[in-house]
Amino acid sequence: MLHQSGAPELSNIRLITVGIEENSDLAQKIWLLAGKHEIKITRYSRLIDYEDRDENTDIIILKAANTGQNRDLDDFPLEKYKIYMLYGPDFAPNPLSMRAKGITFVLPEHELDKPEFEDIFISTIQQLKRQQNQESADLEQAYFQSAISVSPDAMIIFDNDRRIVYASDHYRRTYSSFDTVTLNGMPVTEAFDLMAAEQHITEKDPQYETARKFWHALEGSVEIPLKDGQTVRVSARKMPNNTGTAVTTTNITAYKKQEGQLKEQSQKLESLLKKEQEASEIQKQFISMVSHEFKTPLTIIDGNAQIMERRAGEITMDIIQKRSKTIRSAVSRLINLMDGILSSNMLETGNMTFDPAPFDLKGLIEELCTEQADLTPDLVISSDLGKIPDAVNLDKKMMTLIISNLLSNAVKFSSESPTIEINAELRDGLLLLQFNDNGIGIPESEHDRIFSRFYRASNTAGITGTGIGLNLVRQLVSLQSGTIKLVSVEGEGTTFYLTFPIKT
Amino acid sequence: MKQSLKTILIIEDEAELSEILQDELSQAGYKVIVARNGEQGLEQIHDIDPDLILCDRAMPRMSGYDLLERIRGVYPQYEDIPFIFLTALADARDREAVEHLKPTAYLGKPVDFEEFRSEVEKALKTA
Repeated sequence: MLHQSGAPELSNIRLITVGIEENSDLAQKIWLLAGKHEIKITRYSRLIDYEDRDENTDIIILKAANTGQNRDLDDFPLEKYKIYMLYGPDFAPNPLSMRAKGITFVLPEHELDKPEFEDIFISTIQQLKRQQNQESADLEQAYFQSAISVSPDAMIIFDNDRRIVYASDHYRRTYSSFDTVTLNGMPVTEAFDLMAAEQHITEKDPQYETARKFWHALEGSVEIPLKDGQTVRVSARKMPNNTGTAVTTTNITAYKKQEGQLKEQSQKLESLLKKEQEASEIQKQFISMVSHEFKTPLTIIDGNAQIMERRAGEITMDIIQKRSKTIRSAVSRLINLMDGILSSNMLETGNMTFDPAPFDLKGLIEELCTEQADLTPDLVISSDLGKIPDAVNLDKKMMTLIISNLLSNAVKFSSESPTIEINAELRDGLLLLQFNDNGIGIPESEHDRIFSRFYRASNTAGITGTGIGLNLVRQLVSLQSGTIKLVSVEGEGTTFYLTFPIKT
Repeated sequence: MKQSLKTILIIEDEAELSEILQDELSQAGYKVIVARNGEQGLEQIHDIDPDLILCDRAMPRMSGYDLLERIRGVYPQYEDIPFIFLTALADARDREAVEHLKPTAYLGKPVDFEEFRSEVEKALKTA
């Protein structure tokens, strides 16, 4: 109902009197009658004064007058109203012609006192009331249906026997088969079968069971993906006063799509952030390691300088020579470190190019071995370099970095008494280089990753390093079209095998 | 000035660095023993029962952190030996990481030798 207040409604029927003198006997009678039926009276002298008209609620009682006064009636839509025409003893209108004009009743004034009139009057009131109720119900129904039809949600209502009592137009629009059957009274199971068939959803489809359970239980809320790519959410709600169940169906395709996109985007962002965080953590570790790597030779230089400064008076030439040598070796360590970092950076930014020129590789290896041996008193190096030519056409700068990195790694990750074995030979236009050490080795599961930038093997805790050495080596090898492989047993040692094509 | 002959154990994997530290402390009148890593250091502690331990952090085999953790956890008899870290791991995060092990002092590399000697003296006095 449109009006929801609980109190019984006062009648809104109005009685219009026309041409009935105030305080007259007749007016008195009408007033009594109206009061008895709680009807409000509005009084007019002439029909044309009656402007505030309501054909639905107004009963008009008018006094028949001579022709002149009744002229008003000609322009009035009499047929729309319940009109009683009363006439006195001095003037009697022709009832038939009055009826023809649209006047409902024509009767003499004195009949107003008779119970028969009151019966007629009551029946008129009831008729108007019925009309009113019907109109308001029709209107309500029309509002309801219009509202439902413009709602984005489809609605279907089941009674307590789970039969359809109402289905909004959406269903007819969506399911053409709904148009050909009588929906009202259809059991829910049958409606489900129709809908499933129309959506080509069969028992083999994953969404079938979800949908079947929902429609059979008429409870809760589920999301059902349809075969055309759309997704709907169906929700069942018990209606008040145990009158049945309303099921709404909402197309949530756009929402699901957005949800999917949002999820995808947030996953993308998350993975980017994680990568960024990892990169930033690696960068932090790298900076910390680099700073540590720099500080050690700097401490050696600074310590030696402090000793020489403080003992300037008592210091001998031998000590100066010894201290200077240590300082120089620490400086060379710093330079190597810087070269490594700079080269790695140049490789990263693509600013390093292969620049081959014939040079004495054997001499270079020996020189780098001597340098390493100077830094490491216990180091034993054996080499077989007899099978390489005097001049090799490779990039000397790159080869220097490769060899010095492999040598310093062999020492750094060595046992108490480091031993390095180097073999080199030229075979079929391919330079083969082999570096073997007796160090801590690389765990087998990490052989793949050991060449990644900043990666440090899990067994190197406590051993300083930047994690760029082997990455640098691999890149320098491949820039010269070479290859590098390793064989390593943890706790026993590592052998690196390098090959380089040599153009003659 | 004659110093009492106290024994200092230097645990440092960089030979050139331990050599300078040894030189410096010998000059100051201490008996100095050098170990190359935490593992060797622990053996020396058992053998010589030093008056002070001067220890690097990043070392192969057993780091300075691991060594001090073991001393604090397993060897209460060495609890009273002053333990000074001398390490390049010297930022705030590095220092915080060992705070709970309560080293006597934490010196960052490179180190000023005067400060270094005064920290050693101070640690020996309070021991």
